[in-house]
Amino acid sequence: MARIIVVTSGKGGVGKTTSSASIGVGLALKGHKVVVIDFDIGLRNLDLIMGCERRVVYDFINVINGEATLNQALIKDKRINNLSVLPASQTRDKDALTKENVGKVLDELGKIFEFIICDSPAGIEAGAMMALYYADEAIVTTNPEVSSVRDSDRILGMLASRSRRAELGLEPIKEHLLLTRYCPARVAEGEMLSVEDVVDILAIPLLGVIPESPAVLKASNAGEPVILDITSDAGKAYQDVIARLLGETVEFRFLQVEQKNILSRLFGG
Amino acid sequence: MADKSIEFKGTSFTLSVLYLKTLKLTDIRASLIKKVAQAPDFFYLFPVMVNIEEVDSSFDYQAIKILLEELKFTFIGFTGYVSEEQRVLIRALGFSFVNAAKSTASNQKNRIDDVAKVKYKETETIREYELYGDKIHRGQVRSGQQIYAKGQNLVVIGSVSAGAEIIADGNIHVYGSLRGRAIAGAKGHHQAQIYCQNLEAELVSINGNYWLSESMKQHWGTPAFIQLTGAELTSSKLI
Amino acid sequence: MALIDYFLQKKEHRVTTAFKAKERLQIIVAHERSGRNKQPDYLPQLTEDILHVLRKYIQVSDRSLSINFDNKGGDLHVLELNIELYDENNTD
Repeated sequence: MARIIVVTSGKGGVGKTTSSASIGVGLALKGHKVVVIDFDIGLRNLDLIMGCERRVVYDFINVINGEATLNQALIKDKRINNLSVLPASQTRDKDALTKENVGKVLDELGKIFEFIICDSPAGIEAGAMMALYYADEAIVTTNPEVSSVRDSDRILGMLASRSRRAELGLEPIKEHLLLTRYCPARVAEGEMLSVEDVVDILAIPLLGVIPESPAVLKASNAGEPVILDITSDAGKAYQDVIARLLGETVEFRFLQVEQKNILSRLFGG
Repeated sequence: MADKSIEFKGTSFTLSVLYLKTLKLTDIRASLIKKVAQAPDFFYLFPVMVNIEEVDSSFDYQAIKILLEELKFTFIGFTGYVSEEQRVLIRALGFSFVNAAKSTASNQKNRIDDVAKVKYKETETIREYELYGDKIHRGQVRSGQQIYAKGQNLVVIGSVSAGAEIIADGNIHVYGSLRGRAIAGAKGHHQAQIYCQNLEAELVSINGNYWLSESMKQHWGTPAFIQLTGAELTSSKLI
Repeated sequence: MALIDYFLQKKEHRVTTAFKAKERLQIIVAHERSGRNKQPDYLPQLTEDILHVLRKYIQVSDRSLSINFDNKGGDLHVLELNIELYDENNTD
């Protein structure tokens, strides 16, 4: 049965779509069949970050309404064989998604794919609740910043009470913390919450720390998920995340301020 | 189906309790007359319960009732922390025996609660209260969640996030950090206490008396417990 | 970014990703704006259906057919159909 992973946060703009894209790519590169679904209702983002915005013909709602088959709506990634994208609808009708019809689509996808990554929109409204409902695992994306942490906590409460697993009394959703936009220099100066601070407050296992990186903006400009930028710190950090998701134990990198000497400053690194 | 002609409802009233310091009826009578004379209108038909903890077997229950009624009190019944035999004896004599109101788990289901709530004397004699059972919550209490331990103490095995609210009629114990709001003694239990391994709460309250974070400076960020001393909250080091 | 990279790169190359982003946005926003001029919902399905019929008689690829709905203002709507016939030189 497919692993359904929701990438959620509560707060907006913390890196859910960036992470969904990179995690989807990373898992596919390791040989797994992956689909990434954009659960936003009305604002499409995943297709842009993945670089397939010009190939969107049908979307999630079209499939649900029977206007298109999954096959017609799924967009195969041009770079990686095993990876597909199911884009979001541009309609604002939040009643279009119901537990039943979403469940049916996920069942169908589960027959083809090993990993179903649900890119959740921000907030705690219909799109977000629908994205987390069927999840087996959750990657809670958080910035080391007070409102993000508070919102992540809220979302964790929802995961524990409003998911299908919670409603049916099944084993609870496996929660992971993904700390994004981390800046070790500012942490060292006491200006930013540290990993320890956030883990202490949210009390869920740490999946990864993604450092603040100019590579992320470049990646979305180009439509190339940042994990493909193998020289960037952010890309490397996402690779560590993939390894951990697949069960490996990997030491956490990019937590300390790097001591760059003059030569590496001149010649890159 | 609901009865259309009558309905019983549990209600609390504040009643005065008469404590007898002597068994000599003549002295009691004299003192009562003096008291009534101070405010005859106030004491006219004044509902009263008589506390019989200090009385012995020679006590004449009938006589005190007659005396009170003679002086135009409204005699309700006897009360106090007494033996089962005494209670049986009093009822056999045809008098009401009413205990101070307390909520036990079995009473919760009972629609006809104790009607009278006895008012204590000013120099509060604190009686032993019924022990509450524990409601145990395993796991974090997250922002936006609310837990209410009705008729129980609350034990949280985990932390309570900012924006979460935990409420108990009894005590509150948090095996973790308390960062949200904790409300103990919610139904008026003055002796309720709040314990936690790390005090960083937004608000703590015992029987309606509350503190916001700014009042918790003394033990902020350390293991602490909070109780009511008189009408003031105080915090103390836990371990 | 290393200093030496900075000196070695030409200016256009240096701003490459922002330029790419602008390009992509111009295309996609234009596309979505035109979409907002109310392309009827049936268009994708109509395209499919017509392709299906065409394929009974001639060889056409998915891209041979384009259908456009134009709101010419007022009550005038135009449904424009464009079919590109198979060309030996086209490898699809």
